[in-house]
Amino acid sequence: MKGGTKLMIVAVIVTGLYAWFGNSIPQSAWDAPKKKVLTPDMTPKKLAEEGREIFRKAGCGVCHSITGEKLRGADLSRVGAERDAETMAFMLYSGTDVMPAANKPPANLNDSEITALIAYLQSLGGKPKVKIGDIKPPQGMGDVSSAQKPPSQKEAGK
Amino acid sequence: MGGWIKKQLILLIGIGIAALGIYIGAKSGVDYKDFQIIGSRNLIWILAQTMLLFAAFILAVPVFVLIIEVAGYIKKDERLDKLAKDFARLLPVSYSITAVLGGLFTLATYTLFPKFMNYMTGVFKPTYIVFVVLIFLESTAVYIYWTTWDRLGGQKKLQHIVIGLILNILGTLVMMTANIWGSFHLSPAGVDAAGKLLSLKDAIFNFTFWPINIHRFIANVSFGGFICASYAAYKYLSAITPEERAHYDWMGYTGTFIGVVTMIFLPFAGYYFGMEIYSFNAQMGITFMGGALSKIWLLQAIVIAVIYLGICYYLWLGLDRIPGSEKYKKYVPYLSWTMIFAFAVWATPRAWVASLEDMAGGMHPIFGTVGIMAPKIAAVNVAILGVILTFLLNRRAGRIIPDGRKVYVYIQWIIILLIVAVNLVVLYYSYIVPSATRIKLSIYTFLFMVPAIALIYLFDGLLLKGAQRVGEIRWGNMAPRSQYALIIVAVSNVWAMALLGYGRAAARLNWHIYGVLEDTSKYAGLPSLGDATLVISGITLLFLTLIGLVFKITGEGGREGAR
Ligand code: HEC
Repeated sequence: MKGGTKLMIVAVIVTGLYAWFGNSIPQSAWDAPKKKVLTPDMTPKKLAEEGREIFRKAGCGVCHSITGEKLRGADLSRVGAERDAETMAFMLYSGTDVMPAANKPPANLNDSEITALIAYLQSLGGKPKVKIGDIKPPQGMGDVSSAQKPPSQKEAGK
Repeated sequence: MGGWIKKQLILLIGIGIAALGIYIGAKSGVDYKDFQIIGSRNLIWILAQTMLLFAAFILAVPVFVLIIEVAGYIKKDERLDKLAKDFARLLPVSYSITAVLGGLFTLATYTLFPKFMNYMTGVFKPTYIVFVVLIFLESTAVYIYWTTWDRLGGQKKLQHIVIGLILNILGTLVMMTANIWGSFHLSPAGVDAAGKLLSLKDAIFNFTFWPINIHRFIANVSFGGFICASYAAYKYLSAITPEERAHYDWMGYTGTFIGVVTMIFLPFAGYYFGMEIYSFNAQMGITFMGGALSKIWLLQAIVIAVIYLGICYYLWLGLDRIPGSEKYKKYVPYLSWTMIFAFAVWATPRAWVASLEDMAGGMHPIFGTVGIMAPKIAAVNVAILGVILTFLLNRRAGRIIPDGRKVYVYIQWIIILLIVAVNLVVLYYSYIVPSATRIKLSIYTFLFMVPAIALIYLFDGLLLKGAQRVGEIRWGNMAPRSQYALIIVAVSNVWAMALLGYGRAAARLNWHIYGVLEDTSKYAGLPSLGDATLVISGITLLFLTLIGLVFKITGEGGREGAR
């Protein structure tokens, strides 16, 4: 089947070119986020440092800048001076039409991570004040995301 | 009867393998298992995508086989009927391959990802049963449709057409049932935060259920058209007699025609899909369009460009076989440059974002504001227009337009100019209005484009109704390079399907079921785009090898159709 072989060569060349192009543009794999261990004895300053990392990984920067630039969401460069912790917590747990709640996917943060995030936000234009345990989710918006997931097979089997 | 049992046997084997998988999954007792050497994720990926490509093919072919058959019935044209039969010939073997692939896919997913898949069983068991019943009916319908083709000819043709209609309805239902699961993974509904099922109805009719249905249906028909065209190209290149060549030339043209006409509507279905994702979860939309996955669109733009230009190249070469086409050929260079320009805008290296203020890092130093979404939509629309014009040229070339019909040409021009004007106006406003208005604008453009395109075709039909030709089209007089263009188009199409299949799965990031069931296996992240394209190319070649096998098995019988 000579014709068939020829066509297969065409197919290999075409798919090869696409794969070559796919490999020629800047590459980055995306790793699933890992949960950090955050403890009550961490200082607000330390917590804010962790919070900055969380801010980056949770994709907040897609909509918010911290440099005064206006993106889809508000500029957060002075939010620490302008909003208190409760307001921020409410915003993060409830979300809005546009902004997904931080304790739901894709950010899917737990209570301590949100606390760290708030410490970081406070550090923008202000001073971090909160510690783990200070922030309570508003009524009925608790940490459901990771706690009540369908049990894994191992647990279910027992 | 014996044939029917034999056919159902293969389906039964497929279902048996799947059932075994579901059983193994239920007994498994672990969350994940790994698959040696290539890894679980790659195995599932390859099996799922190859199966989906076959599923697309067997959904698509009956759609246009029926259309061609009906056309032949109405026009009382034996040739069309033969052509429809020639396409239908590819069906039975493809069905069997799909059934076996589906079985293997189910076995693999339930064995390697038992926690995830057992959860799916828990939520969707009733739909599984519906699915099995449907595929049984469908494969029976295929069998009857194919084996009664000659027996139910002549007077009884209408009965055969009814069987074809039933087959199509069943095929669409099968696709929709499978889409329930896929769309649920992406945008789950009807379950609480802990994943407990609250309403099966809501779970079925989740956010992306209808967008996926529509997008897949159109894409599948288009894909099927191009695959059949490549089959014809393959036969054309190996044809010996002029009659064979003429037949397969015509078949390739028809397949391409089906592919293009449906493909034109695909971007619109794509916007609709994208919009639903945005309203389901804005951040997912942004990740998809402008974030981690935006480079997929860059690749897609390039593949689609190859497809569009390949088609146009084929059609431009096709003018050569139409006597009296000379006066239309001079338009070809303008068309090709317009399209190349449109694709340059589309592929401008800049994140695909919805608007200027979405671009966190400023603009591309050289291409600047051309890189954002609005000009890209306009560019795609222009490229679509280029393909439509090419097609109109092809239809009109060599025809003597009867007196008094010139007015239709003017109407067509007015519509075309209106499309251009609307796109320019929308493009202009896109830079000055807030993003909410802009998204609405693109919806209005879309609502305007679809009927406008339909009208162009309608007036073309009126214009050319019964129009005489200067001379008969010299079917079979195509340069071989035109056929290679068709092959490249088909290969690119398979690649594009696999790329977007990856994109849709990748949009879930580290979730099996977005927001409900997290992926905690070692495959939770995403590979780099380069690695992904390697897998995609591998899948494309695997599918082409398998479909080549179908062509080979069924091809022998096709000879007689041509003679
Ligand atoms: C999809 C875009 C989007 C994402 C992602 C997003 N936000 Fe927002 N955010 C907004 C918008 C828009 C507002 C303004 C409120 C509104 O109108 O919805 C806002 C408001 C806020 C506010 C209140 C600002 C003020 O001055 O009152 C804070 C704080 C905030 N976001 C923090 C975050 C954090 C932390 C994250 C990451 C977990 C995040 N946002 C992710 C869109 C987003």
